Amino acid sequence: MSALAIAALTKSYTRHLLDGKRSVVLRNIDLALEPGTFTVINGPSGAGKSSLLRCIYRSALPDSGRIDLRTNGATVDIAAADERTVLRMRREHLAMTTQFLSVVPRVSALDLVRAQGVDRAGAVELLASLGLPPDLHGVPPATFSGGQRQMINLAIVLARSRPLLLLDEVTASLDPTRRNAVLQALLARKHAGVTMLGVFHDPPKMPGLVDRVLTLRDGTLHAA
Amino acid sequence: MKTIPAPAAIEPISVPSGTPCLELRDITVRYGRGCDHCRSGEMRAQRCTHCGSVYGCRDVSLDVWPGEVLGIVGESGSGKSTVLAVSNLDIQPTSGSVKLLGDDVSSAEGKQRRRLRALALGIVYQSAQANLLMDVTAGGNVAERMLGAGWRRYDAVRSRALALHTDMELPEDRFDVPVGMFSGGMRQRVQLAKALATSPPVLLLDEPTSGLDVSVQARILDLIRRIHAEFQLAIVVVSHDLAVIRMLADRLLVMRRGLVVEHGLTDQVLEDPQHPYTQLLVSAQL
Repeated sequence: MSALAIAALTKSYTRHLLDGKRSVVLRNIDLALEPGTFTVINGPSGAGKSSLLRCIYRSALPDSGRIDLRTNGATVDIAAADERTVLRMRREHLAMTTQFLSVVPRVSALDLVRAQGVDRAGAVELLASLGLPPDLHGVPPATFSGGQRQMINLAIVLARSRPLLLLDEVTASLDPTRRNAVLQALLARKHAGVTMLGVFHDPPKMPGLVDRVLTLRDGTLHAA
Repeated sequence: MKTIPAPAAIEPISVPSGTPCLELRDITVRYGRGCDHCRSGEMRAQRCTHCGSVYGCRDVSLDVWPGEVLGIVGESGSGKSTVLAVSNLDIQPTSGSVKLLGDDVSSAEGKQRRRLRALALGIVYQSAQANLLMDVTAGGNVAERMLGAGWRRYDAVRSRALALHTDMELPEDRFDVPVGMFSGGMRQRVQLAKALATSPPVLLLDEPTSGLDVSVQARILDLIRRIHAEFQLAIVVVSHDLAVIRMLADRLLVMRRGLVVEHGLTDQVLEDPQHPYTQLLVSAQL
């Protein structure tokens, strides 16, 4: 049984400020994720990779198709679910990193992670495992570098311990050492049974992490 | 965290499970008699060109559950505050139904309305003058709401008002100072203390941080978030500030000219807006 099964997903954006110009970014996408697997999506910029993740998280509204999320015994079609059901799925089954960190201002990195439901020691360990220097744990991320913000972003998502993770370019602005630390952390989650779908410009080369790479081009998925 | 004495002197209102705390269905507020032209529903302008009636809002539906925050955005005059005033039982809708804690209260009047306002609802306005007596002390303003709800023992009223006062992070030595001498941010904290005085399950916020400078605004937002997490309130927050909405609301209604033009999850509405007006609103944000 797939953890996630997408069928005939289509997504377009209509830009009313540009005389209603409509651009189709996803066309009839089919995709199934088996539990505990790691799938990478790559493709040119603007191909709709993030849109695919956002449709699954429902921060973007699909035009048509199904997005069946397998939960404990039941299946929920995220594409058609009402708002409150989607919020519940986000609380219990689904988490997503975004390319841009948007967090409560003036809250320290450590407290942001703790607010996701881990204890202090767990939060410290998580931030350290991603390579954030300990002297920054008590600092709000507003003044952080791009790479450091990305670590906080990922730490928040990992702290939520959801069975399905959607990762959007989580290693993009990291140096090789930190990238390696992040991939190690993801590998540990994979071993713990977490299902992951990640957008990566360059598929990670960590042994044992990636199960398959798909390329999104012209709105459709192709085996890489 | 210190505990705040519960309002034991009065029976706190019970929140039934499996039902929204607040539910509006097809609410229309019309000023004027209306005519066949505008009642037909084809006319969607806010002011009827035939009879001159003005619509504060039309066919607005919403529901808020315990622990949930619903945001309402829209430009000035879009009907946001009308919807909030209906929710607060300040105006009776021309048509449609208002349910509070599962009961239909659309035509609540007199004693019932006072009781619901005292026990089921708390409200914070942009302007503290609309809610607080400026020449009365902070403690007095909060106590007044408790007395109105049926509290009688002076020491119990005072100790709960003081506990709320400090819980809203107001300095204790300002408890007996008239709120006219308070800053804008402090007045909002007094309003929050007053709103929460009777432990209502529903909290209505009408532009709670507009007009405050950014650092004070951030602290008030922190406080609202903490209150929300601690008391599992159902909150409706009206704001024209999308950053405030993004920080507080789970779900969002977008209003324009008295109509709800779009609703959805907050991140979806702000990041993938569907309606032309919402796209304009989001693109106008700095």
